[in-house]
Amino acid sequence: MEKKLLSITEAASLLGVSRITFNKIRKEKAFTEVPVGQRVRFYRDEIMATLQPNNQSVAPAGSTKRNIILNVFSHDTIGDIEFKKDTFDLTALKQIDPYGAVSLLCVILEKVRSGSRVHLIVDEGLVCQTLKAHQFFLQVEARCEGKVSWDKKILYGSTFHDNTMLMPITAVTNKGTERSLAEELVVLLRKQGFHDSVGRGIAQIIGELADNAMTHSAQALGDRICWVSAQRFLYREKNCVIVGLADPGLGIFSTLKTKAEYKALTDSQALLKAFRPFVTSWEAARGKGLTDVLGIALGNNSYMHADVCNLSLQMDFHDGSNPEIKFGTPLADVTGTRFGLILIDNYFVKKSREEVDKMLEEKERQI
Amino acid sequence: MNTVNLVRYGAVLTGREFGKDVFLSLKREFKFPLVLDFAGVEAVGSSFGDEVVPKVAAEQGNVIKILNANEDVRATLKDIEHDSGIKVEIE
Repeated sequence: MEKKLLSITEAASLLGVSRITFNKIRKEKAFTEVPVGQRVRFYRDEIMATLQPNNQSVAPAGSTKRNIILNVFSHDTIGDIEFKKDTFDLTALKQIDPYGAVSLLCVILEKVRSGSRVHLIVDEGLVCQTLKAHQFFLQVEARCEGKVSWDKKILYGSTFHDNTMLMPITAVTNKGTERSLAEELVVLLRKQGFHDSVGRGIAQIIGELADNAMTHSAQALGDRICWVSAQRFLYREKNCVIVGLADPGLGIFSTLKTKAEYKALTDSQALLKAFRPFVTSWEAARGKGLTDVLGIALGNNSYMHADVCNLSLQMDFHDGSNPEIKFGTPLADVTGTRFGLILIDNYFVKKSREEVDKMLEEKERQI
Repeated sequence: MNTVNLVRYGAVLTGREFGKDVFLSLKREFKFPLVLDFAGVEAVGSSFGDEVVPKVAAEQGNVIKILNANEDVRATLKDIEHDSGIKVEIE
């Protein structure tokens, strides 16, 4: 396989230094210089090898796994691109979906909130261009007040347009905004030929989850905020919509366990129970939104992940007769809640609360 | 009976707080009994519905007539009927 070559700007960005500093380093380290036309290029692997991780829990420099995928179906995590503490190599990403993007955003924001400075390694590749088109970097800039750096020249002026994008990463800070976004999405999906039940399902999901998310982020931080994004994609030759939604609140199970009757539950028990009807940290008449969201996913034979801290509740309903619910590794181990949800384009009917509850009750017994 | 076109509040009706606001608006602007017309409404969330439908029904003998609800909205209204014990007449 051909070794990847970097320009001086790219190499400097990879090391998180200026071009001037890089020119000093290249002499000290005697990097191989590959002439390309009138310029020189450097082997990426050689540059990577000079990076010494200062966090032993991350992969050693030079062995960073490439082709990392951050989506609902992936086994990789955001930890796989943090090859050095507080430095994320976005160039190692082969694919990212809205769920991956909002999860990455939450990781960066948590680091900045805890006082860290974060560096992002970017290139002109498809994933970084896609993240830019999805307004990922705008959200980072808006929320991180200069505490996150990346080489802006690399992506400056990019005119890349991602025609699969339905909704860029959008910060929802006022209740009501989520309804307008959902309405726009219904219209857009209808225009793109999706069945009405998909648009309506997505609208209800965004409405319910964003409303919950803002309530919970307000309890934890005093600010109402959540991030929503949506993208169209093709899976098993079917048109699908994937939605990513995240909030930096306490997280579902912590919130539920503030109520005395759920206090003794383990985190995983509480996370699962939160999807059952009338299970809520509020008064008894509430607690239907998450059940309804699950009813939509179940009716659509789709996929859903709910990540909270180090837990990921992963639901695979593609086999309607054998719904699979399991706990796995979340994309990001940070506070708050991240949802990744896929709806497949076809006519479907939401499953009833009773059906959802029966399925969850069985799973609870297994746990 | 007064018929209220709920799409005046939006095509996606979700959120408990918003439901409370809508109910107050209905009380302020209309004389009960009311018929709720969902033409143009794409989705209704349970929390929104809980704050509007049973409360309107309570003002008119625990019965409410519904017009032009799509299949997904009907499903939510049926859940509300089941949970609250009101009678929802869907046309």
